[in-house]
Amino acid sequence: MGEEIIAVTREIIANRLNYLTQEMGLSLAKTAYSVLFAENRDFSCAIFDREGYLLALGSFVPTHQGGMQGSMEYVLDKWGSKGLQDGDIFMHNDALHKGSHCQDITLFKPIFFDETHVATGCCVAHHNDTGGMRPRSYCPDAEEIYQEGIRFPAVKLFKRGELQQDILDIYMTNVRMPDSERGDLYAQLSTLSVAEKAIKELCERYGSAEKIINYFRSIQDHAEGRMREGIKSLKEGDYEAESYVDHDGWEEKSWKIKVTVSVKHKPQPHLIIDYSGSDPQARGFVNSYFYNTRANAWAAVYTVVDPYVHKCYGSMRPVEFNVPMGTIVNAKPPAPIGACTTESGFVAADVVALALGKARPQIATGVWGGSFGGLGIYGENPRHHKNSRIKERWASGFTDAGGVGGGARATKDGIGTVTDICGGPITIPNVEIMEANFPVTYRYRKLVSDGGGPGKFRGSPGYEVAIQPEGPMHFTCLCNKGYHGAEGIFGGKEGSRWKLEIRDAETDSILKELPPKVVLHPISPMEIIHINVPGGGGYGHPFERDPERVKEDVIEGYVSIDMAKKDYGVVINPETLEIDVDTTEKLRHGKGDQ
Amino acid sequence: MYILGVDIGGTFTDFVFIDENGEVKNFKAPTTPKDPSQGVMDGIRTAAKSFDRDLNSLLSDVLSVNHGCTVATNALITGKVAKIGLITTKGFRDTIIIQRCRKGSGVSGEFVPGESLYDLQMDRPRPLVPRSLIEEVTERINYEGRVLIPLNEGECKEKIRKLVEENQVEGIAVSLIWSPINPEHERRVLELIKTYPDVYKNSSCSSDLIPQIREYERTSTVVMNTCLKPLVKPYLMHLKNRLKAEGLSEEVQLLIMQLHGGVTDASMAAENPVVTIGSGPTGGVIGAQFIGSQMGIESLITLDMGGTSFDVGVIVDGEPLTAPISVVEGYHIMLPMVDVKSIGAGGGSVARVYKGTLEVGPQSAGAEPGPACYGKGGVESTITDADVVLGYIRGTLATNQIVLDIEAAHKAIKEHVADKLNMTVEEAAVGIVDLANSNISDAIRLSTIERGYDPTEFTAFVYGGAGPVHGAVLCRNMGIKKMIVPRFASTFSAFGVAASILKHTYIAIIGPELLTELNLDMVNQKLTEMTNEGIDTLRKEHVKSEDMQFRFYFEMRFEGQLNEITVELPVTKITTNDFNLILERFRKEYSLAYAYVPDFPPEVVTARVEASGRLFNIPLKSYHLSGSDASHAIKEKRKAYFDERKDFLYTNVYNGLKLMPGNIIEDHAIIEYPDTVIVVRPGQKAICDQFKNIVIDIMGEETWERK
Repeated sequence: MGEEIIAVTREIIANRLNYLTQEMGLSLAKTAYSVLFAENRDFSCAIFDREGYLLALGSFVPTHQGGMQGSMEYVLDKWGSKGLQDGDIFMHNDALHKGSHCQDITLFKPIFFDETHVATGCCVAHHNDTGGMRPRSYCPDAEEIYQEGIRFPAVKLFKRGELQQDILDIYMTNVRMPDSERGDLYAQLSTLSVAEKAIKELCERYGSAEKIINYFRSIQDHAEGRMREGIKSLKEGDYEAESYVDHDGWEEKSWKIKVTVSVKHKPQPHLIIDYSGSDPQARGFVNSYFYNTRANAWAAVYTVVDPYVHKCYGSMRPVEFNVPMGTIVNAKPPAPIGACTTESGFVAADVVALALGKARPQIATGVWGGSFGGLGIYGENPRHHKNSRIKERWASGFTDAGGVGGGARATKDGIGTVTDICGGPITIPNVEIMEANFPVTYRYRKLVSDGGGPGKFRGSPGYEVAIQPEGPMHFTCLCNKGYHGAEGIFGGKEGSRWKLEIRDAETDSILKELPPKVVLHPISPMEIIHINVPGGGGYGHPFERDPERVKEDVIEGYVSIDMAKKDYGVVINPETLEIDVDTTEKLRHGKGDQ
Repeated sequence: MYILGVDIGGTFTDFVFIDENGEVKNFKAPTTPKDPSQGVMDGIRTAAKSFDRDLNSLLSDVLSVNHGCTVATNALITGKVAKIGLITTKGFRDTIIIQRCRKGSGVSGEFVPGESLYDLQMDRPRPLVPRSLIEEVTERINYEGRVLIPLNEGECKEKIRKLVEENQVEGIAVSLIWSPINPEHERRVLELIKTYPDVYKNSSCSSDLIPQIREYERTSTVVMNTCLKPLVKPYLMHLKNRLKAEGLSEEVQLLIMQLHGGVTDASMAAENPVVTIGSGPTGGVIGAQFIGSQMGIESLITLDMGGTSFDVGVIVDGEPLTAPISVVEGYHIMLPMVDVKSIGAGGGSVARVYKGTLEVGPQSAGAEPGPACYGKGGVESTITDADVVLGYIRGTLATNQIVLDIEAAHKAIKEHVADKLNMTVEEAAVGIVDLANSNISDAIRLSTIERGYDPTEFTAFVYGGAGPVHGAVLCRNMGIKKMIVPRFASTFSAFGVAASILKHTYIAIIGPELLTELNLDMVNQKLTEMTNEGIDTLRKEHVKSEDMQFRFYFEMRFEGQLNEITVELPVTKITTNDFNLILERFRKEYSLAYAYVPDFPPEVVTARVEASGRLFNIPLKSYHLSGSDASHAIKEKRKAYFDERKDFLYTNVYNGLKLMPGNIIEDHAIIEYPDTVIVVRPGQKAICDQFKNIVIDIMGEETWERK
């Protein structure tokens, strides 16, 4: 007994690898130079097999996973399998060579046991600044990738265990905050040591490199089989969906992303994801390119087909892609791509989830509020007390604009205000923590009334937030769903849209409405930056919503009495808050089910 | 005379009587969910019978009743909490609804193993106060404590009136932005609630409970406290009255377990019921700390495997690790709490084949109907069923309250696992146990590494119904060298509750301020104030001055950071001479939590005083060591599976009650007690020590003295 129960051993090793990626993540969080960087958790750790295929990916940021896969492929393209030596660490952040945007510095360490290359440890982390035209390397006014920061094309940061100081020097010379960048880079390195130690232990425990390599193959194959089984349970057919990227930093217009997902059962179950029909690439930085688009599409496939399958390349093998060159989802170099992850990337995921959802209504959701609303505030620090935590000139990203609404589900409303599905485990900091550390005052942070997309089940609302600076400053902002809300599904309506306004600090009245992308816009202490974060899309026709639920939403303040009538066809007496049954029936009967 | 420990679990209520010689007796009685005090009285009556005394005379011999009160935890699980209102700063009504946008069940949104961030059906628990009962008042204080907008009292009175008169709330929680820095407005709102005395008595404000910034976690805690008060207070008073009516002396206290691991008088727990959360798991860790200190072991990992969950605690330098913020049943608590990580794996965890893959947990068959082998109508195959098939457990469990059905265990595993994977029932059972043990040890590793510790440097303390069956394999997987099964493993939480000391913590904000620039007069004055408060409280709890103990801490961080680390102060009154030592300790603690120690100036955020005291000294009874030969305790031989040999082996089964201190068991063995089964693996050694604990030497390298 024992030897032949290979299925259990495979499961044990697969789970061990998943835990290992979490241990790597812990090591990063605990060694990061800035705790803020660690708290935001904008990083991912993974293990690749020796052939260069993603073997395990823990609970990190889904958007990273394809950038990693592409980057790994480029490391092998460039160096060949013989070019990977024990003690080497490769550094890559070049979108023109299968990588992601500049800020996502990706490190790879091949791991050897008995002189055999067994696996490769990987860590990608979003760095605060990697050079380029604008602070934090988000450059809405860039026209070429060359303006977006310094790029490293799979260079050896370590050669056989030896740090290549020249490379590090070039990096540190080209970024705005070299001290913290260096610290965070070292934190990334620590994850690779954790991976190396654990993989070696695994080889020792199971006897040989060869045996482990065989199990790794079996993990990929098994995950592939399970994924194909999942695809087989979807009805064959072509499913379409489209959505938009709003504003590219230059033009106030939308770029359409269109997808056709074909579910095929023969010769064996597979998916074809085809982005034909998507708009041509943009002038500004919202473009994506193949590897980033594929990464986000993969995440969407997992959500619909099998959220609990082992996440690896094997489980993605049954998915084929057609992403036409020259479009917003696969731009021709040297197009700028700085916002590819949260702009075109998130939308590329949304459309796949929306299309595939039609093949599996019980798991489908309205589109989530999407985008991460990169808000950055820069300026002189007006706080002059002696131990102010921030230096005279400060720049900081606010994850505040990430509080979107979840899309509605088949049997329940969307999950309460959250970060987008592609944002993974990222959370929003407390107001008191932000005010203690940055020279701003929050005026409010509250749910958007009528923010959730109406439906039989309602999308969850995003929140609206108002930030008042203590002195004159500038801010940069990028967000999506300003011209089109998060779409509903099966008759559900869209969630409320992104809004960015300058308001009067005294009266909260609107002084200026701004587009979804803004570069270094001035703001005075008499003004507030007001943001409405998008709500999630609805599920099913709102006239099918149980009137009692509509009433409860009115009582709880999620839906106004006006909207209850207009969107849901439910008439509620403003005095008693009771449902006017007769009028409701008339209203719903007249308009519903068309 | 006895100290009585009572811990109410989901299925059983556990009782431990400790006498002045340290002799321990334990009992179990079914839990009575409708009125848990009934189960408590039933159990004491059972105990009286076994002592051959009547209830009244036994109770009159009790020095203190130490109680792990689960009323609060159960209310969170079932969602049956009192209807309350919440008053917040204008603009921040939704803080508790937004929950910092987290998705996973981790403290700051991280996903714990077993959850998938790709699962679009994920949910968060409903807030304990509905949005319609959250009212905003016009006021604002800034980060320095300066009033930006004064409190609008007229508006506030109207909001209170609306909550009470129109919505009939039973209590009101008050949580305003920046109240820890300037509590003036919060206190005033509380004053205004006094118009309604019945509501006022159930109301609380956030800065009184937690004078620390982070408004979401603070609000969550004060809301929890307020909605539990109307439930916990009457229960505690009712239980106290019943105990007194049945013979407990008037001056004897009912002491309640708190989340930081100390007990407090019932009347104080009734005022702040949030402190009673998590008493069961905490009790176990405190019990381990107590026995560990008697045995001279300072670094312990506690492994408590029950029916549905596996709880892991860590004791370092003799002190249980505490977490500043914890999540219980999905709700955040921002009070120092003994850090027990719960892993969704227990004896009842269901094994099934899903899409060709064997999975164990996280679903559990629970206690009702329980695993198939319980014969209570459960049909799913569980870890416990696999334990039966592999020969580890047989006969009865839980002191004869469960009779194992071997057939049912085989049938369940055959149907749900073996047939689907083309395996024999035995192979399937091996697979289930292997996978479960491997997942659990991976999770324990992660949870200890997360807290900055390497499990191989610890001794494992293993208890709970299913723990001692699996403990030796888990320890082997993790590289732990020594494992201890305490003598009363199945009622160990109750033992811990009984062994707890009275404890209170006090917090004062003194920063953020650079360590070197602290206003020492102010700091020392705050420390003295908090100490005096501790003395007063302990005095009320009948602790003598000479039995009181005080410890002093700073919460510190490097300038520019957001999270603090706790540092114990070397002295009770600080002078500039102490800075170096404080800094040294801070850097040491920091390097444990985060490997990379930055070169920034350190700053202090809060000062904390921990006041504790013991009413009685509890000795742990030590027995004379007899010979090493254990053969007299062998009751039978049966086949049991050991993966070390990849086969079923004839295995000696010992009657644990017959083992004498000093007895040594070598190689694979099963030790059975009426309520616990211990499995010793091939190549390992076990000894019954002078306290009648079973100590297992995982590597088999120990050379114990033989007689």
